[in-house]
Amino acid sequence: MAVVGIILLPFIFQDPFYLLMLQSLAYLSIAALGLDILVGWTGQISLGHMAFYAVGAYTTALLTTRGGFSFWITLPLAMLLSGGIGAIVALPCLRTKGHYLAVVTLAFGFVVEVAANRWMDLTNGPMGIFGINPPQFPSGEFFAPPHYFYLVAFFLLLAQLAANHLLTGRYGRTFLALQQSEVAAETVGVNVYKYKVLAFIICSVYGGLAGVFFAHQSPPGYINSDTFVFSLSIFFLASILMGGSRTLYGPLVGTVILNTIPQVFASLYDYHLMIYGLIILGTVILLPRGIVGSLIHLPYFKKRRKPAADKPGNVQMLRFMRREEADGQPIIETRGLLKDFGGLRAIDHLSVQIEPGKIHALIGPNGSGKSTLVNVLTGVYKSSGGDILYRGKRLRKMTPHEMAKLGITRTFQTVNLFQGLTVLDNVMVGFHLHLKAGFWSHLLRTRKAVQEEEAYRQRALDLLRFLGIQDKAYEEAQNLSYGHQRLVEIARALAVEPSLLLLDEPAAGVNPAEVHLLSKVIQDIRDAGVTVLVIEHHMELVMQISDRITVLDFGSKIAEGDPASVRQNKKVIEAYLGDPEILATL
Amino acid sequence: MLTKLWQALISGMAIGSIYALIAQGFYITSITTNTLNFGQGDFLMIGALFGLTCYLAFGGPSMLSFVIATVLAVGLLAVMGAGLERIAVRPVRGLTSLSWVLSTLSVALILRNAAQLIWRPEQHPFPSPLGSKVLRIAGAGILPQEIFILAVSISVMILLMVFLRRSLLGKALLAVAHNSNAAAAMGINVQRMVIFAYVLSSVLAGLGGVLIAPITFAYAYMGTVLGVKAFAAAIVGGLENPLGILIGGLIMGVVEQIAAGINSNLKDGITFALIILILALRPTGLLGKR
Amino acid sequence: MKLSWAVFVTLPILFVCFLAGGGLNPSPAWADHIKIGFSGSLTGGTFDYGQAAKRGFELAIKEYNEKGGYQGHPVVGVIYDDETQPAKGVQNTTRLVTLDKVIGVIGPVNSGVALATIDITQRYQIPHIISIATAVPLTQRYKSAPKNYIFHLSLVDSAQIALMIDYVKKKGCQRVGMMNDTTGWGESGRQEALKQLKENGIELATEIQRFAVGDTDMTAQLAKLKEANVDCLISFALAPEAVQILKSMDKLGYRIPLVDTWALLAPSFLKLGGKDLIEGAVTVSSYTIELSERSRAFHEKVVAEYGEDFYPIATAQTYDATRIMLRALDKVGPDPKKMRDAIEDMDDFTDAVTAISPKPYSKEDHEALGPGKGFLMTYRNGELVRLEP
Repeated sequence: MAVVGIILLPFIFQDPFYLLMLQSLAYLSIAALGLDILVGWTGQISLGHMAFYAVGAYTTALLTTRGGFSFWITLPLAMLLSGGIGAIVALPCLRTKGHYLAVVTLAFGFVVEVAANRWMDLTNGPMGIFGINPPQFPSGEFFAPPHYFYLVAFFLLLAQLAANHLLTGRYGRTFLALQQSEVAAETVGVNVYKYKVLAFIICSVYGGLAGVFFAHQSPPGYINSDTFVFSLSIFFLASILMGGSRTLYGPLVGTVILNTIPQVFASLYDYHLMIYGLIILGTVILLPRGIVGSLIHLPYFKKRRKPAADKPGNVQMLRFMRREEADGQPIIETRGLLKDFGGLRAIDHLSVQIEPGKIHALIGPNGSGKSTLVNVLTGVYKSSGGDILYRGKRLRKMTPHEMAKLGITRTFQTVNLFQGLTVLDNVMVGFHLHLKAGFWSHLLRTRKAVQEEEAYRQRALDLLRFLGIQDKAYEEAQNLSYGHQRLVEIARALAVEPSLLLLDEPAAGVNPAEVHLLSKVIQDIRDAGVTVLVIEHHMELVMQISDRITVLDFGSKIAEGDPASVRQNKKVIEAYLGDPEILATL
Repeated sequence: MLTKLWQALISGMAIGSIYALIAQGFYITSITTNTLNFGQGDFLMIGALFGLTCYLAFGGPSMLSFVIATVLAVGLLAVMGAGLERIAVRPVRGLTSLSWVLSTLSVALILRNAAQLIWRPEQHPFPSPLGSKVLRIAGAGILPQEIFILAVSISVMILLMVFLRRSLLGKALLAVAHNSNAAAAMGINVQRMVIFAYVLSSVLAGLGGVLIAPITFAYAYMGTVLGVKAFAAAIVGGLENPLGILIGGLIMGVVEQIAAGINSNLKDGITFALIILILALRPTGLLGKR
Repeated sequence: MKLSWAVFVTLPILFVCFLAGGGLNPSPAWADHIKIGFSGSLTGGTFDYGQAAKRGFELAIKEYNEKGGYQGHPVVGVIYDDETQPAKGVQNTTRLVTLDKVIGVIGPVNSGVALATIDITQRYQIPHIISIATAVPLTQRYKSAPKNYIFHLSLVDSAQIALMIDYVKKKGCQRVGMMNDTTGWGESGRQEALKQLKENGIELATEIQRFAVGDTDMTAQLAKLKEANVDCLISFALAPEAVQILKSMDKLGYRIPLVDTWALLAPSFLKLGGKDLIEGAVTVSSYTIELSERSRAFHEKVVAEYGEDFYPIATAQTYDATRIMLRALDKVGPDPKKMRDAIEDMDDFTDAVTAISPKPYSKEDHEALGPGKGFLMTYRNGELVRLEP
């Protein structure tokens, strides 16, 4: 349908001025699209998007005018160069947290702006490069409007399709997940850093592509450094916001609107800044989701989204593959583990062994180091000393997603779901390490990718059924009760197919009926072959389900054994002396 | 060679203290609200133009009318700061960072247009109350107004640090900066503190405007480049520390001058290349927390 | 989200915007009128030139219509602001020649913007008279085309630079230095200056210094010149930056003769610098109010219409440029191609306000104000006076 619309457009708007506008709308949309993949979907801010637009434009301008290369060669080259520079910028920056990327992109944008202006030998600065011819047909005729418009629109279509494929599938899901909780994403095996860099590179490639079309737009083309200024970067951001960030068509709509409105008010030139400013301000405040974003959330459109069918093939319990036969080795062991926070020693020479296939509980009064231990074991914190052994092999310091690859994952003390995603998508992210279809498969939406997504969607539903919450699959995670959210978190963790699952206070904030369900679920998980390490305060639950209990106080072990012996241990009772509630249950 | 370097140092510090003064405003709102006024430069511009109008209305170049103009300009900016918080910051707190960047920027655009309509786009001279005779410090030339700016910049920094650490109001601000939930639990009205932060930040912008205008001329576009450079200075020095911001600004000014002395093409680019370099080595800025 | 859904949303939005765009700007309603277009910097850095130029444009059209217009029909002037940005200039010019269907274009102000827009008028074969921007490439780019549609009515940089170099030679400067701003105008001026300096056998004492529009301190650049013992400075700076250059010179205690382009004619030079600071600065012009009877009369006209005449040369040049366009219209009718020829062949423009000759153009030369049309001026006690040779 869109193709028909595009073909018709030049016939509706025949005047060359409109065609010029349509052309610029098309390539500016490409740039906005790329930027939103970064800003809207992964939540990283780039204040220097103009720089990649400039790289694309100058690359093709210089190569065609000075090097005599054909447009068809400079196009991919420009995209490659933009992507390459994007990688160079992103690789060091995305390792750190916070607003680092925003500032570096701001600075980078300015460096490009100044370089374009001053590096006369390369860019001819504000005098510009002249004679950039549009691509040619084999006959030698130039791609003038309307043919040029068709060319740009064609690439826009491709770019939009590619983005749609990526964003509605695994990659979009992963980007959103890491935006909502980097930590949680890491613990289910997502290499957050890699994905952020990927998003940035995609963003820069799109920017470069747009720049190429900008440079060649009319015979003979002319570009100069005056175009590539900071306010252009802001303009792209404003387009995204206006149309609706984190939607598929928001960037396109936003670009169209933000470019055509000034034309409406062209005669009011004394007020143009004010009008532009009011439009942006109005959108930010009144329509924070942008136009498309707001439309999607209208009830009318919400009702039209039907969930896909559920084909419960095997209603049996999930089988988890045992990674190895039991060989008597503890699955995980710490030896003399230390963790310091400045002057505070949270874990003090702790040596613990977790037997495979059992439920091991870790208890102790507040501040005894339980959560810290979980964080160290899953790579969220780095240890300050001592060893961690996994199946007898010493582990070097690892990131959470590397731990996940080994088969270790966790849930969190306060539920850490990807709140904006559906329950089903939350679980799907858990399957991250198992999904085989890669970037190109998803970009092109190959049959392999589609089938894999379908298969795992079904598995996710089965997992949810295992936990009894499959009817909530299409709800947004944040709308569930706390207890149900807990279960979703567990489902997501199970999706990793871990050999060791760490549950950090799973019963916290959960009502008694749901605790009962939880207890059954945890035992079912153990029976399915997963080793479970539970941190808990809820003594009844602990006593009920544990095979073995380790008691911590002030970061070191004060008791260990089966529930009965621990219950009567003097030291344990002493440690909990301040807590009559817990004592009562011992 | 040495005289050249010395002049670069002096001129650089003069310019740098301008950046620093503007940047202190970024610091205050950034620590309390994790937002800042991306249109700080344009707030400064309003301070300059409005201040000029008052300055001329009260008799022109004299210290007295300068003081009156400053007070009035600062007053206007204080109101504008509260207004900005209400219109452009509060409604978008909690949304993505993109929102407040764009909202404060758009307010800046509106202000710029309004200034153009009221004061016309031309550049207006703002005669310094201290005269325009060049002073010499060991041979290097500097204008009295520039020394004045440097002195005020340093004083502002000191006052700010004292205010934040010693006064009750200042400590309340810092409390909100570190942990707004805990501060609220202690009975601090967080919303009021946020408004106050923006008021204070805009006051600094207004003060900056009247101080700087004698050097830069007062005109509707004076704030755009200055705002960005001041932001860069704040980042370089570390957004967590008034001293860091002062140093960041001074360093930037001096580096610019030295770079221009080596090759005038480098002047603007070097600033931003410097930011990238410094951030690569110390991601939280020179004096930021590790 | 389905693709079709998106199309249903975007197309109507597009449609509405364009319809609205058509509605608010009454082009369709003017379809029967003859239109001449103006695109220049009414806001932005060089707004003062733009606003002054706009006056000249409006006055010329008003007078023309008062005398009966074209065969009884009034001509309409379509004015757009390019905000000193090339992209906007391109958009405006395209709009003028396509949507508004103007038969001629006047403007723009900035050389950088102009360089981008001349391609459009040339391609669409609409005569284009540039009344402010001064860069050399403007008329040169299409010089060898069978029909060059770009005309110039402003003292071209090459003529200005010749005068500036003349001054430097007469002053006896031994070590010449140069500074330029980083705009399209500054850079093209620099290139032309280098060329002419070479032709005159003058070598610069040290490399050319650059500064940006809005810079407030040029001590670093000047220090370099001082180190090289430069005794004369050629600059391509607009008035505010020229003032800052002079201020920086004072800071260094290094006040040397400064010669700049016509930019120092701008009223802001005196206003921002004060008469003491700018004393002795040399500039180039081709026009003063006292140039002739006609220029004096024109000045009165401007004051009568607008209350003052804040930038006479800009208004006068645009006035003449517009009248040439209208004169061509009278001669051959509203046919842009014929008008171009008429402009090129015109030899009876005897009532010019500026210093252009009755035959301003020829096939080889599209510069109405070329060498010989300019003269040097300097500031004495806040007044502009001619510099006697």
